[in-house]
Amino acid sequence: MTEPDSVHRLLRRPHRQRRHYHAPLAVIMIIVLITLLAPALAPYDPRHAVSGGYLLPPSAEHIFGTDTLGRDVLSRTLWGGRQTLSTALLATAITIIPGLLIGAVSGFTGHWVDRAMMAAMDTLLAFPNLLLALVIIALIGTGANQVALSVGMAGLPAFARVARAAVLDARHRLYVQAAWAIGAPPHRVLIHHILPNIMETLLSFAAVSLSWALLNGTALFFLGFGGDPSIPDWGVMLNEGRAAFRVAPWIALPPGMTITLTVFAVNRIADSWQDALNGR
Amino acid sequence: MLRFMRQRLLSTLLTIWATVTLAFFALRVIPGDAITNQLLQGGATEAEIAAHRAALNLDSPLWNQYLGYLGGLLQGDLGRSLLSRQPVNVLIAEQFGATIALALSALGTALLLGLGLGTIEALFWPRRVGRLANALSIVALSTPIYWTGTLAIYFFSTALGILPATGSGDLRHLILPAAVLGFHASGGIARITRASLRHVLEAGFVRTAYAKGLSKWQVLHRHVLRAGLPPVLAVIALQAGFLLGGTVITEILFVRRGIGQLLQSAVLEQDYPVVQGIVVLSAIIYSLVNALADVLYGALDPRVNTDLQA
Repeated sequence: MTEPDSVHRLLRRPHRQRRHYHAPLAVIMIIVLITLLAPALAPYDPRHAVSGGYLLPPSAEHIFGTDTLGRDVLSRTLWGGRQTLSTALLATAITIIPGLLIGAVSGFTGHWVDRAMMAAMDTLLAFPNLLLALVIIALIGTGANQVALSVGMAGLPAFARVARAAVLDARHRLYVQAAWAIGAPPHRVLIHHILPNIMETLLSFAAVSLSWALLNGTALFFLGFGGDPSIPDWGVMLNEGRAAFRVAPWIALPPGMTITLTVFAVNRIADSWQDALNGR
Repeated sequence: MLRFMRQRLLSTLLTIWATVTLAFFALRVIPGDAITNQLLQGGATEAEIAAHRAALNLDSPLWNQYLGYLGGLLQGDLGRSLLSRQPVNVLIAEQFGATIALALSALGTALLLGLGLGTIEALFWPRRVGRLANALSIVALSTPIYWTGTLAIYFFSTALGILPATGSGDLRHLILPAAVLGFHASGGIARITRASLRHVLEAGFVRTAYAKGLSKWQVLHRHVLRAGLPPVLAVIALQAGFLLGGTVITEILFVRRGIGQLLQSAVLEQDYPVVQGIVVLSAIIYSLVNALADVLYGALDPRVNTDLQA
């Protein structure tokens, strides 16, 4: 590594080239589009066995083969994406909407409201993330919506903390003081002056929340908390496919690769926004 | 420093009390009378239910139950399983050792890999080694544990046949699960290590160290790592939370005995006392680890004025 002369290079070197988020965004849009079109694109019914038989290797008829119950893996991957992505999006909405409200109110009002709300968030943060989701599942039962609710709730305290920190930081900026000085009412200051300026921070952490929701949501489906097992989900498919991986790797490969690709793309977007924020 | 430690301990105890209280009321209040429902589904008669409720102290006022629960907790009593009727602390104690062995060996792997990858990335960035380290840490953050685990089982057990795929006998059974879980936990550590070291590498004192003629290893050892590692501590403590959750998935994937299997079946059967006991215990461990990291941070980094900031 760095000899004294290369230290100079290290110091003068422009920071890591600004990462572009267009490529990962395109990947996500393609995945979303394909799963949205699943009913039209899927060649077979994802829930029922095809006549050809089970554990068929990939062929022209079944591009990704068939699974242990004789269902078409391509169709299940397409439909499974709908389930996985909608669960993760719902979970993210459950994280960021109340999280933003709590964080904004907490950071904006201060005093005892702030202390009470943050004490509540810190209590939730004291539980390891996935275990908090599991307690909620134990309380409300299994099912796709329950998974979304529990994963979303488990991500909420972290988002509220980030939102509060951003609001607190913006509150002391000159432009906010200027807004107060010209007599703007509190809600106007919050909505028109503070929120637009912290939007990038919030979006970046929303992307991080989405990647957690994808990983935790599929993990809960993998563990069997998604309710009806005939509903295809990438986590469910992986759980079914891993048992047969030795003889039929084509069952687990498509969901495994697509989850990884999706989370990877979401993380890249979060990173590039974060880098832009840090002025890299 | 002592005052800081005392205050940190106090706030940790408060957090633990809050989590215990939350866990108690969430399980008693939100689902209505879940325990009765549970017994009814199990085909118990009215008299049996009444006897069971009396045994569980469910017919006394809520505050009384709460105090009883807190009192029991202080003596290590976590109640009884609704299904097996065994004491929860016994159920947990039977599985605890296997889980802790997995969590600690995964933590060791995560530290080695995370600090290593992060340092390599910070020092060798534009070169191929640096890019490779970066790619590995991104893969660790973006891949589900159960997918990497499935692939690892395939390559190391099925294809190469050098490690057992599942089970929990000797040390050889521990290698694969610990490596997989540790690899995923290393992603977050590598990220922060890289960021922290880069920050330090650009500091004036590092330049000075080179200027006065220290070798690159001396600079790295005496100046860069010393200044760059304290912030990493906080992330390592946060990874403890990831590990506590990750052991559940890993144990189920590798069919290892441990808390994971117990928790999975308890959640599916809605066996509340077992779920409550495991989660409260995890929250306590997690809070203590984070408090310890804070105190260590204060001890390692003299800029944190522990007497004033407490």
